Amino acid sequence: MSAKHFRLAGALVLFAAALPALAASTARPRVVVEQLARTKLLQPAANAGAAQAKELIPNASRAYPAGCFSDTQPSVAGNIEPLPVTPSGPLYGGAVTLYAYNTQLVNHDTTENVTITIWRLPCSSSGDKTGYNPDGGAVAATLIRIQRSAASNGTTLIYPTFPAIRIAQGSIGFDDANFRDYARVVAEPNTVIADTNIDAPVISSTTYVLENYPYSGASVFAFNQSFQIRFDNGYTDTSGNPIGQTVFSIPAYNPTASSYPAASQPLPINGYLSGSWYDPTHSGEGILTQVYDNDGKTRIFAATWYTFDQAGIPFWLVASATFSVGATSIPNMAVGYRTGGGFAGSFTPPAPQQNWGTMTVSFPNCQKMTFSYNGAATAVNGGPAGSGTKTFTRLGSINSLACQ
Amino acid sequence: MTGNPTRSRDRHVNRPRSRRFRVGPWLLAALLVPAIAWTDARADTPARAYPPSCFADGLPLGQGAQDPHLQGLSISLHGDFNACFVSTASPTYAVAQQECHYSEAVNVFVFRVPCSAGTSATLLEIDRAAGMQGHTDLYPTFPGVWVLQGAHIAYIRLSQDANTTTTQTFVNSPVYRNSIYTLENSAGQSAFDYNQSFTLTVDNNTGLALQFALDAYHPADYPAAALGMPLTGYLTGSWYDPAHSGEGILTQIFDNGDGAITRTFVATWYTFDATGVPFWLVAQGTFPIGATHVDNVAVQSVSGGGFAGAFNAVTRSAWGTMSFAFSDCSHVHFSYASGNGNAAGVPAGSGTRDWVRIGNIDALNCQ
Repeated sequence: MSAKHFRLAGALVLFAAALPALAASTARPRVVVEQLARTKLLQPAANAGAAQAKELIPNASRAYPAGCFSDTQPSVAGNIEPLPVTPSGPLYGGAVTLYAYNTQLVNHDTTENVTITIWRLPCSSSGDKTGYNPDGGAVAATLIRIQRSAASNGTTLIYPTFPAIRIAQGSIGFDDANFRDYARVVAEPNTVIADTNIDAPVISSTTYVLENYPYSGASVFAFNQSFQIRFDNGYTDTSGNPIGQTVFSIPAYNPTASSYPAASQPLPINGYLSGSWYDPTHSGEGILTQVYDNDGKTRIFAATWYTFDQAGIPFWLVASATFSVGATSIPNMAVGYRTGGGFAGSFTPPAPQQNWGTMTVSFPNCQKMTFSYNGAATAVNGGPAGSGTKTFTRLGSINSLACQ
Repeated sequence: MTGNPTRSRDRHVNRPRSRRFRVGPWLLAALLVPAIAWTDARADTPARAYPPSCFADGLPLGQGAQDPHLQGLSISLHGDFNACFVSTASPTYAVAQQECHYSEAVNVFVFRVPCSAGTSATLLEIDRAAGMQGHTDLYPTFPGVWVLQGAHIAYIRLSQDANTTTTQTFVNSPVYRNSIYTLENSAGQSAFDYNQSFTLTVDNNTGLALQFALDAYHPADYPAAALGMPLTGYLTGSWYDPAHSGEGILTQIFDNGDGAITRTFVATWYTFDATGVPFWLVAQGTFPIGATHVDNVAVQSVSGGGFAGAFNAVTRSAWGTMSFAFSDCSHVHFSYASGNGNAAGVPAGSGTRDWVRIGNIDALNCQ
């Protein structure tokens, strides 16, 4: 028994266990080389603050819009899966042989065949040019699921381990001399630093999202464009040549109504669609939206329209409605206003609530709000009245809630 | 030690157990927002260890000295056991052998930062020796960390990103540079309350363990806890006076995109003119990140517009000033003072008010 082992804290052990000494494996030395090579990539950031994201704004290393996973619900009973578990749309990938750890073997070395599926999840595509979307094209997040067989999923007697993953895109090829072919791969969305170590256990089937490293010298891949991805279990032949690599080619993300129906639909309505919206050709008027959490199954949409009456004096209307999580439109929402109020609380409530009419609201992407309206403020002389359809543009980006 | 070194492996088995976030009763009314049932939107997520808004400005690497109860101890952390398996044929064999047998003295700090509403977050920081920062040939690896609270003892989840649910730092992960980690709870595991007293143990897996005994968190010991909330996006929301429902203020905190130096605060006041007809004012000011209040922000009244774009241009008139501060996620304190020259009928006056929040914005849950 080696002196180097995990120490048991009483009988309660979450993830560490005392392990017997094992003979050093020479069958897959490259696993370690891969892990060590990645250290070369992780040079100190050029900007010391870069790795400690000050804001969830579209930092230069982001791989998809922050709001893309806002409606992902844990979908495996009793198990946390922050990312979707069921691949959808065009699927890529196939069978991959991973290194597996066999607790019953002396040297622990074995393999397990898993199914790796790669797919894309449509995100808001506003046309904004960003690090992850240099051409302003359609935007998706790229997901990877490592699926163990039904018989072996969850078993700990033998379990596969996370492969070395490299990306080839444009001028960056596999085995780049400066390790610029590494991408961050994480089982939780919207992280900045989190990573999955090579050889980390994959005990249950898990979905990961492709991310970029936030460090200087790392690549910022545009995963919306075509790329190749290589999974490497670290095995080599007796000459040291890799024999455990599987490469898949992923085409560019070019959604059509049939391949990715969600891409041509308005966005599911969530907190990221809170904000200010206006018509740049008629600045001075606008709508403020706020999307509230409710009971987990529904949310509340509230809009405040700051506008003018027929004399050009400021006037406001408010609208709200409860909707089901996942809805992409708020149809025929009641719009109202109040009369009989006063400034800074100098009135006796209730200020009577008046019916104005209705609005229907949807969001083609994070930067656009389309709405129709029909109503009249009949309780006030010269109150705003009319009907029509408008598309307003977002004003600004709310801190910690950057919708792109 | 003799023979081959042990290859360390981390094993993490989720133990299914349904957990729900705690539900707090909140009051609601005002404007036209219907009553909101205050359950969290996500089931089956681990119990939160701190409010989501606590790290909107990033994790406080190197700022432990601001905690009067900062604890720091030195420990030797071992090199990467994985390096022991590099074969003799590899060009990195020599350095890997060094790393295999390496150990490095690091400083481990445990400290708390105040969050809103009398709560805190607890952080673990590992600082490398001077001159070793960022050194990636030889580096220490992450220790085992467990917590004892009452009769509850368990390894805990630690994350370098705030507000995660599953992300964790595994034992034997490389620590290349000074790093800071949040103490988190895990799904399917009894939750620790890191605001209460507990003992945290840092084990280097090679025969040495450090113990940090933390007393319960007392906000009065932390000057920052009394300063009010730093102005972040989490203070975006609707605010009103429950005694005068029907009037309100919507606040929004925008990123300025200037390299995380400043943000913009905007407040739109939904009020009434002298005849009780709806009227709005808008306040806007820029502030440095970290500020806990904005003072004497310019307020405008806007006139000459029309409904749904039926106008050419508006006239923006200086109305006066407002100042804002937020004692916690649920309360805004503001003052207002109109200037001279406002048109007849434009609401005017001066005073101070304390209003409360309506609702919590999805994905921006201020607690």
